[in-house]
Amino acid sequence: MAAMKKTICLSLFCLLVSPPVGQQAHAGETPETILIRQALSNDVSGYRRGDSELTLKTYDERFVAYQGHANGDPRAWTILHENRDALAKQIYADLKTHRYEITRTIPKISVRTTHAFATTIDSGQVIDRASGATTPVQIQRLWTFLKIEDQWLATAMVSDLGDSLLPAADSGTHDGISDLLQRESQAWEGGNASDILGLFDEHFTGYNGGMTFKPGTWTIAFSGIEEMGKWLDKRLPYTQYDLDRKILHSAVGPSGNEGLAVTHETVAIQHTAGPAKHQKERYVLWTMSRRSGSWKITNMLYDIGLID
Amino acid sequence: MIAKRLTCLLLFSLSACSTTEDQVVDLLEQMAAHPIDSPGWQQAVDNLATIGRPAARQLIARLNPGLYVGEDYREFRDEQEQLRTGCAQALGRIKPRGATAALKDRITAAYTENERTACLWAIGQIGYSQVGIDALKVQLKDSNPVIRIHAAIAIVKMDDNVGDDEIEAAFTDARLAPIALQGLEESSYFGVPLLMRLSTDGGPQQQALRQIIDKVKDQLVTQLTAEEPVHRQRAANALGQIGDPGPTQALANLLTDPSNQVRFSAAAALATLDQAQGIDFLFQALRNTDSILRANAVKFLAEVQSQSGSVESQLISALSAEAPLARAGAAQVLGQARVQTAIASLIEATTDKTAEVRVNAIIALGQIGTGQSRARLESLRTDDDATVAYYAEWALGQLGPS
Repeated sequence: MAAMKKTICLSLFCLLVSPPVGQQAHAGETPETILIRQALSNDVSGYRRGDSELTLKTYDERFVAYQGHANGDPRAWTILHENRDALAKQIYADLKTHRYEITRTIPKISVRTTHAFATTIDSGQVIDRASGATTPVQIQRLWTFLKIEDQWLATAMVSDLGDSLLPAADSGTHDGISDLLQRESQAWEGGNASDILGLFDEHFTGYNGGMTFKPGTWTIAFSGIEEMGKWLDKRLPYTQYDLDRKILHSAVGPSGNEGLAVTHETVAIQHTAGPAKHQKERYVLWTMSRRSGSWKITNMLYDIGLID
Repeated sequence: MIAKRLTCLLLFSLSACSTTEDQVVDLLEQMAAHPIDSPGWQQAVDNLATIGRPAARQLIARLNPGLYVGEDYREFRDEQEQLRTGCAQALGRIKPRGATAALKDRITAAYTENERTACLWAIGQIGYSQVGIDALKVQLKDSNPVIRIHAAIAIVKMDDNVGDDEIEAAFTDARLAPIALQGLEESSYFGVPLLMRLSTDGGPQQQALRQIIDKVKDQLVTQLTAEEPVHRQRAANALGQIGDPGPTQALANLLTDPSNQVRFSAAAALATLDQAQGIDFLFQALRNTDSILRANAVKFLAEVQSQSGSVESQLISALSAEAPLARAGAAQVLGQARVQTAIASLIEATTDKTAEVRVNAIIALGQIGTGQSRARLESLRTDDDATVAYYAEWALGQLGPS
């Protein structure tokens, strides 16, 4: 009965937030994409109205913002804000000093059960409240969402995402991140599902990049560790993994609680039921957090299309 | 007590389902663990085909790229190819009609050649469906000739000849000819008309074509005893087209088949082979008071005459038979088969004392359409019998202006 009530409430809400006749309709729209679209609209409406509370409604407590530096190659990305509070401080400051005359288009929303990602393009201008000087804005963003109690909240965002691969500055290796990724690699070779899953955040998202760096063709492969656990239970009894991983880039935030990394690896499997071997090389983008004490993987994007 | 039995039955059913599902999962893993076409991979395909329809749902699911996420994730494209190709092959042997919709989505250029050819083959094996044949026709325009020949063969298996030119062209290509030959061998009775045409037109691969015809003939003889009447009927028809007297006795055995269509097809095949049993059967039916049997006799005799000319003299003689039904039926067949040598006899039959014979002779003359009968037809426009006069007018219309 409770579930039925929830469904009715959700349907009513979708009906209320769905665009009226005459406004833009979106092909393939579902109740979930409508809700995510609404969350993204709240964010931009808050900026336009100077209403920080409305903007902040979009963000989950564990929100992390990454700076893309106008580069599609995540080897150039860094950590911008490590949590919602840090973001809030920035929003308060921005709205105090600037007005935002921007509109947002949402080219892509992809949903799998309780996890989703979206891309946005904001365009318009930002006006300095003191001087009246205007700055044109054209900015692409990549967002990840998690559905919590019927509400979609942003858990991460890459700001200033580039649509081409530009050079990236060399970065040092962070011991914590390096250790986490090496342990993850070893856990695969050990073939123990709980050893692998123990290194992932409960709500992590696994993506398949389909050999491109543009999110438009990415898909969500895993929504949380429960789903990945079911896969491992099916996969590991029949396969032996071999992983050769090299960390190409890593970055941590100002407080050292959030990180990201890019690896290049050769992954191979040997089937236990026969002689077939499958092997490939891939780039993987990782994000990780140690808000729970130890480093855990929060996002993993297999087969992102990068070039050496 | 009943409730207990029902519970046991339910539990048994559930455990049986689970066992089959587990078996399918193990075989799919075996398929993923062996390269395509290796003995281990082929064994997995064979065993899945043996499980049959209970495995179909899981096999159809593996065709879909959207499946390979979440708990069914497989990160290697070549592993997915092994599974998709094997599942398509197994489905082609199980032949669940519902699989065509999923298979036809995997024959496009987005998939590998192995996957596409396996799905094309499976669609052909499953047989005719509008959605299937529409998708196959699109692939006849593919840039890859291997895909085109597989599409053309699948179309033949659906009893359509739109891909025949593609198959004919394949016989001049060393890589494609074996695919075409194997496909025609698998096409059974549907491939016979094309096989016979290719084997008599003096093109390439004549020896190979004759060998395939011999193999198909053996398959068809086996199919004469198939459970489904439609298989027996089509096999008999095809054997008549092949024209080899070897299976005469097997065809004769079908003259007492419970199915009308099978009996007539067997008789027509025998008549095409110039066998008296078949000819007698059809002419007896031509005299039968049952109008359905007579209609069948006319239809099949017309086919035999058009195909082989083997009953021409008997048909002309039958215009003088004692039974009016036989005379009328013979006139119908001669008209439908447009037998030019029967014109004089048909003109003579327009003087028959039975109006039905006169009517059918007039219609036949109209169908043959020769000016030789014009004078006689003109005189029949004023026949006392209104139907005779009506058809004389019609037949003159067929001849056109003098």
